[in-house]
Amino acid sequence: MKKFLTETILFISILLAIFTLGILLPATPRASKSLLFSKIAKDSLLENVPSPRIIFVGGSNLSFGLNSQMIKDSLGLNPINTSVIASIGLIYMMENTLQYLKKGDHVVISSEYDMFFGTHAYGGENLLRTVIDVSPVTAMKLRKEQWQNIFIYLPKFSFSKYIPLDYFPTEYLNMIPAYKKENLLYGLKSYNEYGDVITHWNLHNEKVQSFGTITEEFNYSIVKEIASFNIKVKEKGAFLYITFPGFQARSFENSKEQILKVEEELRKSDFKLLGNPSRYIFSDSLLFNTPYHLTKEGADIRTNYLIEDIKRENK
Amino acid sequence: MRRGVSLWGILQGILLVINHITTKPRRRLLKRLNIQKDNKFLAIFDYLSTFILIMLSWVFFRSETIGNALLYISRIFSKSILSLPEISARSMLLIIIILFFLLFEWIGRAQQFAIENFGIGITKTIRWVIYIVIIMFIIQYSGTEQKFIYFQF
Repeated sequence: MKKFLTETILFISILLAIFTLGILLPATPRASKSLLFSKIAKDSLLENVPSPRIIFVGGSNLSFGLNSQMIKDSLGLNPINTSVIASIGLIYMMENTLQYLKKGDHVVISSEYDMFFGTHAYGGENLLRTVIDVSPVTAMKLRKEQWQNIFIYLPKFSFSKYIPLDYFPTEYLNMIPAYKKENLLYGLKSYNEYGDVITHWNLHNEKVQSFGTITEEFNYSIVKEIASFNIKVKEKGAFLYITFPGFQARSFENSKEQILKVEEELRKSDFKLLGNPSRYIFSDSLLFNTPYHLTKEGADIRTNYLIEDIKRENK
Repeated sequence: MRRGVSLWGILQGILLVINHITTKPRRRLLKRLNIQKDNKFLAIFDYLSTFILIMLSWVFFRSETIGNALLYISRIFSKSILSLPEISARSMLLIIIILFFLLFEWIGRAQQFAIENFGIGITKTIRWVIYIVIIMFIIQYSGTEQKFIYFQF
């Protein structure tokens, strides 16, 4: 029995040591070229792009669904597309943007619909990777709810540092088609100077599966969080607008009731809303690889709608 | 009970009956062709044919209607079966892991359970390394909880 206990304790200790080391190790070469690290360049845009500015905040519906050049040409504002990936969570995205706001900035939130349900807005696995690997200073600013959401991903995060393939140089990994495509679409070099993903613009779109019905409860506190963000934006002399993501028509139908609930609650809170959810639904031919990712043509159409809605709101 | 489930049961039954009534003729055929019972190619053929037939019958179990199941099967055997699938990096890794599992099953195919003798003759250090690697794999590639297919009733 004594031998069993000693060996059990020894085994667990070794496992814990490997786990701790994994957390302390820097990001793997492959991870450090992933889209999460685009945050550094995007933060630099927020810091350095001169006014007048329009700042887009949201998940990949923006990075894969906006043509910022059209925004610049039509509205005469300098666009900054801050979006990286939805699973960083809307709360983190808003708080990160707030510190860089300047007087006169126009901030447009375009959040994926599931952010308003359950606790998705507080982030997931990619928030953990962001605050440990990309921007450790922001880890101290996370709230209790955010830590509660991301804590469970710590073992996975730690052990991901031991994947041998992640230490192979990109040029070798690119010899494997699946990795090459992943690097092309979700890598540091996927973005243009405004923060839009453009590497998929010349690729054929994929067959896109629809999302099922959103089953989680509507989270009223997220609307309150946006309202609180709105107050802080106003204090900085900036303006907040909320728009809706470009979304697959079939997925829209699957969660129509929930999406209309999002719109209803946002309207109750008196935000400046740009358009409505049904204006931004798209057929499969305009989708690239997920219900939120648009092709070049889709992104252009969406951007045109957005420009019209912004002009209408500011008449 | 859905009709698809009944059909699944009937198909399983038919496959078992075919297996039983062809046992002797198959043995005779193998003998005539001078193929040993433990022939590796024969084993691979047996594994693959059993796996494919059982998986196809499960389509009826899982589908809402028999029509859906037939549509699903017809799409599997459409022209796309000859084209190279687009596989994500993660799926590719999972396929490699599955092949690794199959290799274990193959090595231990003569035993009642493939890994029943695993670890015998291996030093404790190597065994622990294997355990730790398995734990890391489980944590790294575990997905979200899925209801087992039987629980849909």
